[in-house]
Amino acid sequence: MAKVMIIDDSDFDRQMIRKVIAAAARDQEVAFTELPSGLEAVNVAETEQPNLVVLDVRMPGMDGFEVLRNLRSHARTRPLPIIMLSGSDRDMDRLMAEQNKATAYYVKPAKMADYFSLGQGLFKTYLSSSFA
Amino acid sequence: MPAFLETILDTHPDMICRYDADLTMTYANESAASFFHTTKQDVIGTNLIDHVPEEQKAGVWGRLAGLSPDNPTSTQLHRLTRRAEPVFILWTNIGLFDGETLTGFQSVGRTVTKEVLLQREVEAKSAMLDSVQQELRAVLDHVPSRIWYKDDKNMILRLNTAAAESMGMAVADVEGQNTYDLFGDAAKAYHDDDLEVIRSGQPKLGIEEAYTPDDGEQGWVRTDKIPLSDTGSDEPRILVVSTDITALKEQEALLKTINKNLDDFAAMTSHDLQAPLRKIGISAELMELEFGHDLPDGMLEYLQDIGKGVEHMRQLIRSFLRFMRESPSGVDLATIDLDTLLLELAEEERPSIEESGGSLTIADLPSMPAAGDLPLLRQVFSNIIQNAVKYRAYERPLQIEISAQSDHQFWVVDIKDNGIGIDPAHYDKVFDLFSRAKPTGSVTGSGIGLALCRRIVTLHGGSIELVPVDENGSCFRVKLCRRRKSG
Repeated sequence: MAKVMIIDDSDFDRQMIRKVIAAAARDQEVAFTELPSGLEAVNVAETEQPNLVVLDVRMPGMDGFEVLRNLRSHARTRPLPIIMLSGSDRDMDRLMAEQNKATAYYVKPAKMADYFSLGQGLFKTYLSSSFA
Repeated sequence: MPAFLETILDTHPDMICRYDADLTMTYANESAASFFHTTKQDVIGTNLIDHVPEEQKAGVWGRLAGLSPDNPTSTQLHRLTRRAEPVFILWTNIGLFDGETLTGFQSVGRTVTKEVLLQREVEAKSAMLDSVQQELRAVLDHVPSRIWYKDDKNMILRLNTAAAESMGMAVADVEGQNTYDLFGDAAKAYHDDDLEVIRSGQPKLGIEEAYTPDDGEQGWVRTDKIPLSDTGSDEPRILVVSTDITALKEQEALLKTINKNLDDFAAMTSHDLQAPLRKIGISAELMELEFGHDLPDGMLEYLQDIGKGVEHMRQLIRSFLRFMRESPSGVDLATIDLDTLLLELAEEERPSIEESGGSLTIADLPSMPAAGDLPLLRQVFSNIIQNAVKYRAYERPLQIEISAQSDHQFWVVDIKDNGIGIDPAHYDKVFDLFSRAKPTGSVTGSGIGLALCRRIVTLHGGSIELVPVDENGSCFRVKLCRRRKSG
């Protein structure tokens, strides 16, 4: 079983990420942990040890970059693959993600076909090995 | 009279005469006789009054009658004309008295024409100098900038009213004063700076400083220090011109705030507007994907309409963001060769235009030094040419003609094409954001190209417009400020 942790303040986006990864996994079981903010991210990630963390950038309270820095500063969460999935395509945000050692940075797709492709890519890159 | 004395008097250039009390001439030297156009023998024994024009006789009597034992001497400047030239003679008249009794007169006349003319010239020049100084003072005092004219010892030789007021003093209290006497050691920093300019011989321009007047809020000045070597003085001089730029600074700060707000707005647009739009679009797509076969008649079309609307909105946001990103907030003006830029662009664009059967011609251009930001102006003219290519009329070969001429302080560049043209009713609108020259399904465009062109040209202090053409096509006219050729 693969484990995915989704940190995003938007119910809709969490649902979409879950949907496209589940679609890519087909019958293989993927467990999702969803957090509407990054406040508990480190604690939950330390316990869950997910195979992939999908992290939004703009969230009220604590933004994605701060959550990323927290995750990268704790020994047990430091090695986790953390991809940032943002509504923003600004170069500045991409740069910030790179500087804070995000594994990858993607812009949230606006079309279902692109969303499904993203789900497949994430599954293949970060989760498929869990089923080998 | 001894002969030697007679000789001395006759060879003296002054006119020397003696009269009885009734003005009968008892003596005249050769010079005096010559003045009366006669000889000594003929003039002695005549009466002075007989030599005086009728209208001046009373004056002569009056002047001589005014002499007294206490006040025996008078002088009179006599002007006459000889051979159309003015001649001035200064007469010194002395009453000869025996006690209280007038016994006669002595008159000595000296030609002072040169002296009088010289004095009058000096007076005229002095009056002119006063007038020039007054004029210069008026000019200086009407300049809103503060102007100081100093020497290398920190002495203020001249200053205008604005400068004196900025020091809280009157012009008369400052001129001729040493800044050290006025401000003590505080003057040293300015003096050191002045000396650096004087020694280097290089002007120091655009020094921006904050200042706080005694009774006001903090302001800003921009100062130019210019060494002067052609003042006619051997001493070094410096001209210091200071302009209050407080309003400009405030506008700059406001502009920065506005730009920051625009950046924030762009960031907000990019995320906060896109997020709900993405949600609507994806939801509509999911409804179609997951429930398409169960939807009632017509519902599928509605969903597709939602998708199209979302896509259109997304394109508008993308275009807007591109406009925000590419739209310059200022221009870096330098003297550029507009003719070279146009020729280079024509060379770059010509091959692809000719390859498609079209032509791009450029008229003989004059040398066109202009005030411009080269990369931005390149973008403007490139955009206009690309526009002509994009909106070409496929039933005829594309022709683009570039020409230029001067119009007072502007260079006027015309870029004419024979494309599909633009309805004159839309001439202004095409430069608006998201406006497109012609709604045509076959031509793609974001509708920001000409808006960007207008923004860039406006920032240059120029203009861009469409002008009517005789036949098919469009003519874009760009006006940019001329500059003198540098170097």
